[in-house]
Amino acid sequence: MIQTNDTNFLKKKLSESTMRQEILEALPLNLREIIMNIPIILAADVEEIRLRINRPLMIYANNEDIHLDLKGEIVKDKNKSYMVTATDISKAFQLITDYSIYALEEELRNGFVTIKGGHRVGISGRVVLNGNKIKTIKDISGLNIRISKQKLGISDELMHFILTSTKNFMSTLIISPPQSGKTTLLRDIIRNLSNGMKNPYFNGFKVSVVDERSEIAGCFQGVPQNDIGYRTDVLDACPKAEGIMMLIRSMSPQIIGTDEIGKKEDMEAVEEALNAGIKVVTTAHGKDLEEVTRRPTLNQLLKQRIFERIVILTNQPRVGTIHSIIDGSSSNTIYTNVLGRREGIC
Amino acid sequence: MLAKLILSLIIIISAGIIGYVLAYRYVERNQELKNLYIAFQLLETEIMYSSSSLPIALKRVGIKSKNPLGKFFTGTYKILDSKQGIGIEEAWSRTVEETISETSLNNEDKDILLDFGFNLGSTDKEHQMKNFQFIYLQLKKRQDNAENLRMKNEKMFKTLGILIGIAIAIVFV
Repeated sequence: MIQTNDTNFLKKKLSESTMRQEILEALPLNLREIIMNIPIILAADVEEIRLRINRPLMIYANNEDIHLDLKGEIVKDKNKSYMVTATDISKAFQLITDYSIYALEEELRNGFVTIKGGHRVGISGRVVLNGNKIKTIKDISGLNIRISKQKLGISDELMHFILTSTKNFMSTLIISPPQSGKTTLLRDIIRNLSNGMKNPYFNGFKVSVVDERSEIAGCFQGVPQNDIGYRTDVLDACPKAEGIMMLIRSMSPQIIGTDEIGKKEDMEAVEEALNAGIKVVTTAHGKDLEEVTRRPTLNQLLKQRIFERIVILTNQPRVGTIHSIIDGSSSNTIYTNVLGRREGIC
Repeated sequence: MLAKLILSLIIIISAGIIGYVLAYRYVERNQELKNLYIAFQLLETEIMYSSSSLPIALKRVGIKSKNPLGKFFTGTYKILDSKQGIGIEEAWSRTVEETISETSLNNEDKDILLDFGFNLGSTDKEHQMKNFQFIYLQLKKRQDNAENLRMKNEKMFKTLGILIGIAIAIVFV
């Protein structure tokens, strides 16, 4: 019954399409057709697919919004764009949650679901409260499918700067504005640290990752969907502070990786890890060092000179460009990409 | 004389069998409703306690349940697993429509099943539980109804079959 000629044709097209299959499987058929037909040059650059009820279907690529019509062609006029219907959203939501909303209560409370392939889908709608706490989201009105992209090897050059000559890793803080590839860079650093490298030569370290937002490893049903190296243990969806403490006690890591520290308890946990002789690699939001020092909690960490290397990312001229690397203990800049060269070290 | 006797016996026996077959439908419906109840309990356990994803839960329940009832679950699982972007409601109702004729369940039973698919999987645990409680209640009612019908009709069809057989034998032979 299901295997009509029509769907066989569809399956064939699915595998040929440049858009990742797990993304297409998260969309209802009509949207699948549209997304499948977007120009190949564009498909590789798509960062987000946004569905908003009764509003134009939109993809975000190369720092701009793109409207699509029914045939998947780019249209300038937003009125000609395909309008997302309530049925589209509810179907997509069913597919994204694998028809099992009941099993994802915790995820809904956080406002996102991680799907196969490690892509994250943000959800907006009406929030149901239980007392002061968010219980769940219902009447879903918007979905944002964020396509996670692994860029294997982007940190290879950077590794020269964050390893000492004795093959010791230096605790590193990556500072970057949103959407500049800090998680992507962090993931690749973790992968390299875990696997070990030939140049610079070092054996892999035992790495543990606290992946509070399931962004680094992109765990789907407990299995990391991204390559994070074979000596890496992941605590998925765990609050950072508690996760770091747990890992110190349980997994005897040499390096702990985590994303976006900022809260007071995160700082304390990081300090705790460093006191236990564990190195830390983490990220923080911010345009430059100055902006980060304005945040009291982070400033304290920086003052204590806990991080030996500070890497500052920028999205100019393109996402993931390293602006500068600063020696944390002396505050000297050891690398800058002043000219904003297209070929940065990453 | 002997031939007449044998003929009469054959008529009575075949009429009796027809009566039994008609009566069996009622017994079977009753049994199927009971099995359906058990299957839904299995599904509830999978959903509420194991938090399995719906396709996996449906597959497991389908394997554990007797056919043709298991087909309700495996059929839906197959549609969902094909990842064609078909909603759960549609997948469930399609399967129910297709499978119902293989069972002894009647149209009212079918409506209950269709209603069940409306909320399956698409709400949080609390509401899933309510959905299950509701179908249990409905199935119980249908079971009582089936039991009543069975009591009334099982005996009737059985005796009626034999009696009609005898009547035919007396009148025509």
